[in-house]
Amino acid sequence: MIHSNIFADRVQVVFRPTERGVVGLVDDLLGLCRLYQLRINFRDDSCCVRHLGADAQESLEIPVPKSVFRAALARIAAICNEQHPESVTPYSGEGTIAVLPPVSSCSEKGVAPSTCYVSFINTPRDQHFEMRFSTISAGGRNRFTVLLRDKRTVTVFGHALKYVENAANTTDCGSYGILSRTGGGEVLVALFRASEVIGVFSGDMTDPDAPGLVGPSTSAVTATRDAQRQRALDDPSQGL
Amino acid sequence: MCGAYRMEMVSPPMILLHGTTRQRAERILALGPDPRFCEPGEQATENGFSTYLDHGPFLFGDPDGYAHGKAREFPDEGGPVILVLQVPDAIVQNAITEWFPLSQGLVQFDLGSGLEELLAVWSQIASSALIRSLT
Repeated sequence: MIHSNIFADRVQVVFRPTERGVVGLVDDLLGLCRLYQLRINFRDDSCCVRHLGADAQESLEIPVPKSVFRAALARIAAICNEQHPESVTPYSGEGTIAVLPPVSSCSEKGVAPSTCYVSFINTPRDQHFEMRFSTISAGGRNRFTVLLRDKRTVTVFGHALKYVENAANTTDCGSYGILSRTGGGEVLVALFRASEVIGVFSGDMTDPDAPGLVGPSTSAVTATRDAQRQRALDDPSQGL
Repeated sequence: MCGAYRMEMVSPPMILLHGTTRQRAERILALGPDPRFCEPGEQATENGFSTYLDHGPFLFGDPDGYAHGKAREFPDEGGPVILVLQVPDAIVQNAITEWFPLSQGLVQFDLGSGLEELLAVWSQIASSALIRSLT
């Protein structure tokens, strides 16, 4: 699956040691927060990295020394406390972290800092970490998840969804566009042909197995998604 | 090997800090860091021995915070203290890895990454170590 390969590549790059050490690892993990919501557990000398919303079997096993993972969690706790004093202990906590945009996009106008929601446990017996993109970080924009018929999933940030009719061709089903507000106007930031779209969801798909999260069970999410995919495939006229 | 480390002791030692409870600090001083130390009710796991350069930076939280945290969690262990260690630079160098450059301020002694070397000269380190109480 294309999406999974990109995900795996990105995660593996993040876990590659650099001269920035564990601090760099955490910076890069938080940077990934712009793209993915992650749950990371440590077990048997490796990190189990799972993309929230993905199937459990799609998780990645990445060998990392335990002390590295524990130091990364300690760094997360330290950042939480730097930004919100005494909000977490070194051993557990949850909160939000403002993440600056990547250097490469700093020059781009309108790239706002992200906000990551993080929760973690860092005790000798148990270590895990979860991070989710906070929708407020997109400057009031929503996160749209687009399911395509070829099984790809695309995430787009924008303010609204709009059906765009193809007036020039009445046999064409038209397209779905994601709109974003800029400087008093609206621009299309993404356009998907309706015939290629199964569904568009607004908001995050959370990991229902994770403690503290509200949502249906994994099987329910999968079943809902599969049912919607099947209905859409059976009925090409079905919209969103 | 120990002889080589003793020779290195002439180089200026680095001051390393470890935040913990008094009971644990005294145990560490007496026996050396135990990478398989387990807290009450826990199973032994490999956790290494974490220390911080005394001048920082404290990018992973400061030793005082760890000491207070452990003392809060284990109130019968004599309160928060800082274990102050003078460790030869040559020993510290063994703990530096690609994940733990010294610039981060964290000196992480793991099995295979400096802990064995630290334990080899522990009696000398313990003789100059201090336990500083935190109020």
